[in-house]
Amino acid sequence: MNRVRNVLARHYAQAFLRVFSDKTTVKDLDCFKQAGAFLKERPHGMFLMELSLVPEDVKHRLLDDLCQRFNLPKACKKLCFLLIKSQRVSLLSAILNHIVILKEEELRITHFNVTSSSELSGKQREQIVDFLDRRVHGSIDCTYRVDTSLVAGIRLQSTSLLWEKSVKKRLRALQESLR
Amino acid sequence: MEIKSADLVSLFEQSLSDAPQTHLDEIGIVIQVGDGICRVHGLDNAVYNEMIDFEGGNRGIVLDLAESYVSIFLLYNTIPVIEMEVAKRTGKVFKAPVGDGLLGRTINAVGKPIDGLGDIDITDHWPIEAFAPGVIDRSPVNEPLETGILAVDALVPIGKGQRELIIGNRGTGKTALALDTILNQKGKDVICIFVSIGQRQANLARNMRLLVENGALEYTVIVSADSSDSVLCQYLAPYVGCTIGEYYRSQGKDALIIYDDLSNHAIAYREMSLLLRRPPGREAYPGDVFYLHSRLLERAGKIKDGGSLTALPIIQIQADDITSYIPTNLISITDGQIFLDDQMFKSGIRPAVNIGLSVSRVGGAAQTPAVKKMAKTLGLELAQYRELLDFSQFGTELDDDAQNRINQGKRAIEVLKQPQYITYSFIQEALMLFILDGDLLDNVETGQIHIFVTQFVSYVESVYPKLYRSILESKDISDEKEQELHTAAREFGSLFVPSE
Repeated sequence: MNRVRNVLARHYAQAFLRVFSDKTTVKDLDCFKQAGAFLKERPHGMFLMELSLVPEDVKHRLLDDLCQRFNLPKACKKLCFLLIKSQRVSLLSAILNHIVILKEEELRITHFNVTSSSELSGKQREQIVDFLDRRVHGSIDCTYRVDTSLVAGIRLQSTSLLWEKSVKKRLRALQESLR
Repeated sequence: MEIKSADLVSLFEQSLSDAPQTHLDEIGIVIQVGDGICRVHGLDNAVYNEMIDFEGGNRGIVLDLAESYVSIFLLYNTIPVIEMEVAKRTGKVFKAPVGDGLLGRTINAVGKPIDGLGDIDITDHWPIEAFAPGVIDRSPVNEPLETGILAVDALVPIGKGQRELIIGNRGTGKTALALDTILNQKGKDVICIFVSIGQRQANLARNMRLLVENGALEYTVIVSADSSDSVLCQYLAPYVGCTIGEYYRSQGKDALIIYDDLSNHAIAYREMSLLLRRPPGREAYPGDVFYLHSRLLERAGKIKDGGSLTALPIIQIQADDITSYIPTNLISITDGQIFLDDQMFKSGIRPAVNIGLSVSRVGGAAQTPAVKKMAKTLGLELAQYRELLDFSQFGTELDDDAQNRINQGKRAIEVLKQPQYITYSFIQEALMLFILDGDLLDNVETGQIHIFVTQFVSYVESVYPKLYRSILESKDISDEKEQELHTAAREFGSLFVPSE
């Protein structure tokens, strides 16, 4: 069921970008991300939005507020109203995520989660971006996080690429060889 | 001692700048997992049959490529894979370990030893999917592979490089026949590979013990994917065994591979195909189940450079029905079949080889001349016996000729009976068939026939050692030797004392 919903959400996202791709900027993508994360945390709210008991004008008002709060573009408002009409508003969070992924693919932006065992300095971050720049076509967008379970080392992960040099990885390899 | 993680990070900083050639791994994220299969989003460049490593330690093989995900079958049931786990491309296909170190060892489908005898000395790793030798590379099947089973060697002979199906109901002695064949290869420079698919571990342990007790394990490799292993392992095991066999063949050696049994293999593949949501066909098997076995068995054969790979696939049927889907596929792929009859087995005729339904399409050319000469009329005699036996059951009175034929058939059946795990050399077989051909057994009681023929063989060996050696060397029985054998048979007939 989840897979079907995911495929449907991707189709909506593809359709949205076919029409509004020119009007969607990199700045908008951040807004989409935030709105998507916000909705993902409130699945019950989205479920209520699909109930026919809730009047349509209330649903419109709520989605208006959402668009305003996250500074979503006007095109997104049209998408929300279309979803209300077709009673698929619960897909909104997944659609926003897919829009971000597809647009980033189009703009060749690769988002990397940089996980390190301790806080990285500015110079170290620059080195990482430089390292990735040399290997990835397009632009790089990094999010930094500290994870002490690495013991020591760095892990650079995007949706399709991974580079890791950490003690945790070596321990995993050791465990596998002992199995 | 306190480790400053900041210092350790700087070590990795150095590795970042020191390794400009380092590539990023291509990864995907597990989006669904269950029943030994997982779907992974990403891995856009993954190819069919590619090995995938999971971060949790499991491994798998890509067996389906969809638009937005790939389906991967997992190798290990015991290592969990969770949603959102990272799956990494390896860029390699599944390979089987090969090398002389495998002899005498039992491995699982992934090539790890399961016999508790420590690590295996591996020479190389070969991909399990390989092209079958082409027509130009093959040489005709013209060398016998002696099974040591009189009924088989006399009536459905197997040649080196042949593919002979062993087919029969449950508990009719299919595995026993295959194991007998392995036991008979002792000292004949034939490497044996026994592939156990979807069997119980207790059965495997019993077979292993039998091979050890008979000194046959030293020239045998056992590949096992038991019923508790993943379906992927059961699917891979025959290909792993075949690859090992091909390795020995490439070394110019003769290899014999036994697939016990391919019905379990087909069932494992059906399970995989249904989980992959491939459209089911007849008996819910996928459309490419024929290709599953044909590409495996086509790899057997004798090649010009020397070396051969003989395949004895086993298939289990139900209620003697050889017309179901998988058996008919295998019958059409192989160069003949040995049909083990349930009725014969229950009536005490063992090995229960049904001569009427068994055939060897290429083995005749490879049969040892001595056995071939002596067994010339045996097939016809047995066919006549069966026909007349059916006729006699109507209560019809038979003439003397018909009665003689029935009696001769009964004697032939008695001679062809053979205890389990006792195999005969070609000369023993030839002498047994010789004695059957004459009229010496006419006055021997049915219960004494087997003793008579075995004692006759010993008599010739001890009293006529020159003749015995000459047959052994020439592998043929000339007319003069036949005359000498007649003399020996008459002598023995007068000396034979039936045991009580």
